[in-house]
Parts: sequence; structure tokens; C-alpha cells
Amino acid sequence: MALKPAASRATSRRRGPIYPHYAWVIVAVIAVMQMVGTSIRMAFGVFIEPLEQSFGWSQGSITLAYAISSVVTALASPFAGWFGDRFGARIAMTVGTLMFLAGMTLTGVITTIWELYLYFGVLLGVAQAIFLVPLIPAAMHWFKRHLGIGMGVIMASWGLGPALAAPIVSLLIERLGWQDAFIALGVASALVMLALILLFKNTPDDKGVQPYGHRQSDPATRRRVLDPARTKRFNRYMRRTAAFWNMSSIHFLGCVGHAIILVYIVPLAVKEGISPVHAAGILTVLSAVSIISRVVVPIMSDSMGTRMVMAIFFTLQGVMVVMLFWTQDLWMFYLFAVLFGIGYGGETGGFPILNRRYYGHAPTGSPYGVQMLGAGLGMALGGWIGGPIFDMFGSYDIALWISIATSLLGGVSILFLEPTNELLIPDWEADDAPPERAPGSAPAD
Amino acid sequence: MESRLNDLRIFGLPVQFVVVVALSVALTIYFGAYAADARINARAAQNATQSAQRFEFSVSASDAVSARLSGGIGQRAPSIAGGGGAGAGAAQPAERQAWEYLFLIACPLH
Repeated sequence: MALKPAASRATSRRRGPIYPHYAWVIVAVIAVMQMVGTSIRMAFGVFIEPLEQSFGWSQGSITLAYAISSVVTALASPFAGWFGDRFGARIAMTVGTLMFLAGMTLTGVITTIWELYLYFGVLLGVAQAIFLVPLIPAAMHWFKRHLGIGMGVIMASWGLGPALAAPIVSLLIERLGWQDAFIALGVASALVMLALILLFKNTPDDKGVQPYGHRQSDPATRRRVLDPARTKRFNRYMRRTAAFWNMSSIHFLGCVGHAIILVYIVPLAVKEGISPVHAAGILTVLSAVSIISRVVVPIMSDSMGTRMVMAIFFTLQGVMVVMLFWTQDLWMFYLFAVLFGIGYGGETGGFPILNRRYYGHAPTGSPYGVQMLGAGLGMALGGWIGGPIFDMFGSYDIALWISIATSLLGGVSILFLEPTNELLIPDWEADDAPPERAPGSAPAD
Repeated sequence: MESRLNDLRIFGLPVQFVVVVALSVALTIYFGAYAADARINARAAQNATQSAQRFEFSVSASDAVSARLSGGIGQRAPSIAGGGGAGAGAAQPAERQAWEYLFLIACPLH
């Protein structure tokens, strides 16, 4: 890719939305980092049987490691966001890579269940939070305009990773055994990540270019991204905005809505007489279709009304679940997978765009981390709640109603968010003095 | 309308957020307590079955011993081997795990 200096780039005002720029290298680095760093948890199901055979542990004990990892990722997300704002995404990525390497190699030599919980659950859980949270705000620094296109590519990797991970991990386990598979995956992934970190720059300033979409008429951006006082001041004001809290609860609702389907669609289909192999295919179709809307929704959110686009996809996710009340044949399940996959894929893509609309170019690692906390807790609740409901009623109907209700409630909540046509805290850094010298400065909201 | 709703606060938090948190916590507690209740009942039923089986084994074993001791004119001397003080077939109090206990304490409906 031929990269031109910022000055010449800024002059081309009439070029289209896609042109060569280092921002695409950053997007590619983040997409691959997130794909490699977070997919191992998605492929955890492949490890259950080998672990069961090696140690005689129950499936419940083994899958508890997955649950611990999910909850730890959710709880660590706000901290990961703050860490990225404070020290920069590059250092966060390095720390995440080292934790990932340690977690994977140590999981490869476990002998007790507690080691599995500690290494896979806690260490890899924190590493995943670091890969998921600070990198999105880092990508946002690189885009003055057309953020939706960049986010679309990154979000697509969230769908592609799990689809590729399971067959690769299965192959490695077959060839090497599960212990060596963990170690080999850990070492190979860490090497790839370290190479990518060398290419990564926190801000366009670090590369000596202007952000993507910068125009000559725009004011030059100043290098203040990693200023701790600035971050602290912004966080203080941001926590007073309703959007900060509501975006987290909306992400929570959306994730409860699709987690119920993702976890229980296979047992639901098997209960209707579909073979387990075909039932697993429903999940594959659903994930594959979701990639399309993962790409499209951020672009649509960026160019059309963000709240309206998000509300439509939340509603689509909820309404399609109604189909499952009369779905019995395989083709109907596959049709459901296609239609639901569109809504499911679009659920998450609008959040980075909303953050940009509400908070502009402020350090948004913390709010994004809190939104991911909501998402993680939603995934945990949605994934769990179908079990007791099935035990209680002998069917998943109530769980499906909860899925519909949470998705629709999320869609309605989005419409009640603040309008996106102006920043919520426009003048939070108007006073350049350090906070301690300006104690009486009024919050912008 | 958006701004009016966003201005409504409970303990300084937006009402939308508080409603979602409250509903989610209520849902989690209710279904968590249901799951805890079901697990405890299942364990109690399992204990009851096991103690009934032990009682039957114990009765037949003691019958055989009595018969041998009394030369065939056995007096029945029922005993409950390892059954503690509970009667045969009665559910023994199933041990609660900490999380089950917490859910049951928290849920007024269980």
C-alpha cells in the first residue's frame, strides 16, 4: 500500500469514501487481533470431550471454566477500557498478548480443575477483555469520517473468527492432542499478535498523518489522546450523561435477546426431531449471515440515522424469534437462521458510531468498556436462563418470550436515547487548565 | 420526550437504566431460586430413594441374622443401617450449597 504524507492526503477533498491510508492497516491489525485473541473461547466446546477423557471431569465442571471466562471478560471490560485510555491501545495489546500466551500455555499443562478455572477462566478472560474493548476506541482515533466502514470490517471479524476457529482447533487436537494444541495455538497466536503490534500505532500523530477522512478545512488534531488528566476530566462529565448508562443497559438487553437463541437453538431443534448435525448447521448459517449485517450496520449507522438503524435491527432480532413458536421442519429452522442472523449481526455494530456521535473524539475507552460489561452480563444471563426455564416448564417458550421482549425493549430504549445530531458534552475540554486548577468548571451536560 | 425521560433520575441514575437493572435482577433471582429449589428437591428425593433401599436391605439382612440366631423362629428386629434417625423413605434434609442458599434467601416467592 502506497502511503502518502498527510499534507498531500488532506488536499484531496473530492475523493470517494475508500482510499489508501494507514488507517486500513490499523483496521486490519485490530480485526486480526480480535479474531485470533477471542476465537479460542468460541471454540471451547471442542475441548470439552478431550478434557473429560483425560481427567474424568464432568461436563458441568468443565463448562464452568467457559462461564468464568465470560464473566471475567465482562467484569474486566471497564478496566480494560480505562487501561487503553490511560496507557494507549499498543501497550494494552502487548499486555493482552502476554496474558493470552500465559493463559494458553498454562492451560496446556493443567492437572487440576482449579488450574483450568484460573488459567482459562481468569487469565484468558482478562486477555479477551483487553482484545475486545480498548481496540475499538483506538480504531476510532484513526477515523475523522467514514468510521462506519472501518467498524464494519472490524465487526465482520467478530463473526468470522468463531466460524474459522472450531475446525482449526479440532484439526490441531486431532493431530497434536489437546495439551499441545493449546500450547501451539498460544505460541503461534502470540507471535502473530506481536508482529501485528509492531505495525500498530495508537494515533495518526504517531504515524505523522491526519486521520482518515480529514479535510483541509478541518482543524488539525492535537496529540492529547493519552493525557491522564484529560481522560479523568472527560470520564467525570461522561458519567453524568444518561447515554453512558443507557447504552450499557441497551447492549445488555440486545445480548440477552440473542444469547438465548445462540445457546438454545440447537437443543430446541433437536427437540423438534432435527438431527444434532443439522441442528448445528442452523447455528453455522446464523453466524455466517450475521457477518453481512456486521459489515453493513456500522456503515448504515454512520450515514443514516444511528438510532433508527439500531432500533430496526434490534426489532428485527426480536420479531424473528416469533417464528420459532411454529418452526418444526429443517428448512424453516434454516430460514429462521437467515432472518434472525441479519438482526443479530446488526445488534452490536451501531455502538461505536453512537459513541462517536455522543462523545466525539474524546477518550471513549471507559464508556465502551461499560457497554461491553453490559453486553457480557447479558450474554451470561441469556445463556443461563433458558436452562431453569426448561426445567420448570418443559419447553423453551418462556425463554423465547424473554428473548423477544428484551430485544424489543432494547429497540424502544434506543429511540429514547438523546438525539445524535450534537455532542452531549461539547465543551468538556474548553478549559485547557488541569482539573485541579479549574475546580469550579461546570459540566457541559 | 427523550430529554424528559433522560432527565428522570433515580439515585442519580437514568430511570431507563434502573428499570432494566431492576427487572434483570428480579428475573435472575426468581429463576435462580427456582433452579436452587429444584436441585435441593432432587437431592432430597434421591436421598429418600437411597435410604429406602438401605432400609429394605437392612430389614432383610437382620431377618436373616435373627433367623439364624433363633434357629428359624426369628423375631423381627428391624434396624435402619446408616439411615440416621430418619424413617424409611422419609426425605432427609438435603444439604444446600451457598449459591442455592443465597438465591432462596433473596427470592420472596421461593
